[in-house]
Amino acid sequence: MNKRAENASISGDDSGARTAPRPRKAASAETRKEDALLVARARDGDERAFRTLFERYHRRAYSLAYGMVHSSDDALDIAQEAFIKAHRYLDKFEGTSSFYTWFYRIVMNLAIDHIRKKKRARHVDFNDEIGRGDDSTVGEDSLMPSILGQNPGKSLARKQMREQVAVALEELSHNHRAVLVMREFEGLSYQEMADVMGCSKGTIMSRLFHARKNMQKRLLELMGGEKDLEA
Amino acid sequence: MTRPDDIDLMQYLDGELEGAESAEVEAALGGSADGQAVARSLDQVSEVVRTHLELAADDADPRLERMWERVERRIHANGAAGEDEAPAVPASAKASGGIFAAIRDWFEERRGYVLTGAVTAAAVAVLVLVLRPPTERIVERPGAERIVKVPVVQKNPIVPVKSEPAAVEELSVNEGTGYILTIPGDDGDNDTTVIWIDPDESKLEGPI
Repeated sequence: MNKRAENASISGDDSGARTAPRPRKAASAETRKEDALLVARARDGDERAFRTLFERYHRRAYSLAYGMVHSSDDALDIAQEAFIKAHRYLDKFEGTSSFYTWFYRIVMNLAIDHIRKKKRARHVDFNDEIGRGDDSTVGEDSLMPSILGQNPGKSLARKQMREQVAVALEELSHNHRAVLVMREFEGLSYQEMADVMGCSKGTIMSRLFHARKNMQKRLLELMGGEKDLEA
Repeated sequence: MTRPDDIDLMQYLDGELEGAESAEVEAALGGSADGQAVARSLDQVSEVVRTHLELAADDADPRLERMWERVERRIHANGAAGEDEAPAVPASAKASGGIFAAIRDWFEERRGYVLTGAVTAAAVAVLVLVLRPPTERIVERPGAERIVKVPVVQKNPIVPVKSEPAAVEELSVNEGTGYILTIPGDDGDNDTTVIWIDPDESKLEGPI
């Protein structure tokens, strides 16, 4: 198993409840400042500066795109196209937001365009409003308390499990998938995701809530009969 | 203690609450087994999605390493196109809304597909001509009330035979793909063989 998956397994071994907020891993203020300098240099024609931005974000761009389209070839095309667009429109980047927020918006727009073109979006958003009243109890409409045994990282190393996660992700609407991928993989804040998606912070929160709920529900359905794999 | 609201809990775990709000959820969570279970499940979804995407990126690493070459090539191509003062198409075409340019670009991007499609269409047309059944002619007789169909009478009438399907064999050839189509003849002796070489455009475009 590779190092990342191994780390994921190790963190998955912690069966205790996580009762503290998860630290966000999105770019720090220092990284944002470095990005701004690199953008300025790249605008002036410094190819090495743009190459540095590429090295910094190409893997993330691919992962975001892959999370959206679930095709390695398509995700590579989208990531590549995103960098070409970013380079072409670097002059239009005003610097009011961070580079990665602006860049992720390009990636997401390309991915959503791709999905629309391929008509793969089989599910539409429904009921993005959050009902606070009945959600306070564990029920049909609330976040469910159990999933995947105690070690999701280890489970995911199994090919079948990965395929099931891919199925569950693909069955989400593209808006739900986008927020889930940006939050869980990149650790973007609600406001950063709102900037990327061009919507309100409340909409992001709502989409994230429903995305997680639907993901949990689908994973439980898909993996319900495989709890013995964890033994 | 009362279990914290799911939305509040989600915001708390995502680090979106501050101050009193955060402290309130933290206190509620500490005394709620249900709340802790929900927190654990949120953590697991996060873990599953993150690991899934990281493994996918690991799988793609060799191809990701080559991505810069393609990006660089495209950037330079775009730059050269932007700096080139001489228009590649008539100025009138560009000025007229770019329809011609759009069509040209579309064909340019899909040149390989268009060529392949054209060759395929031609091959299908040949197969249809070879395998078509005996023709009939519709004749309108003078004075007749209705149109009747009269089979064409030929000097040497063709005895209908059951056509065998064409055998297709794929070939691996340098710089492209090849196919051998063997169309069985009616009498079993005169088979027609078509050899079709389809050059790989991407390879031809590279430095030779």
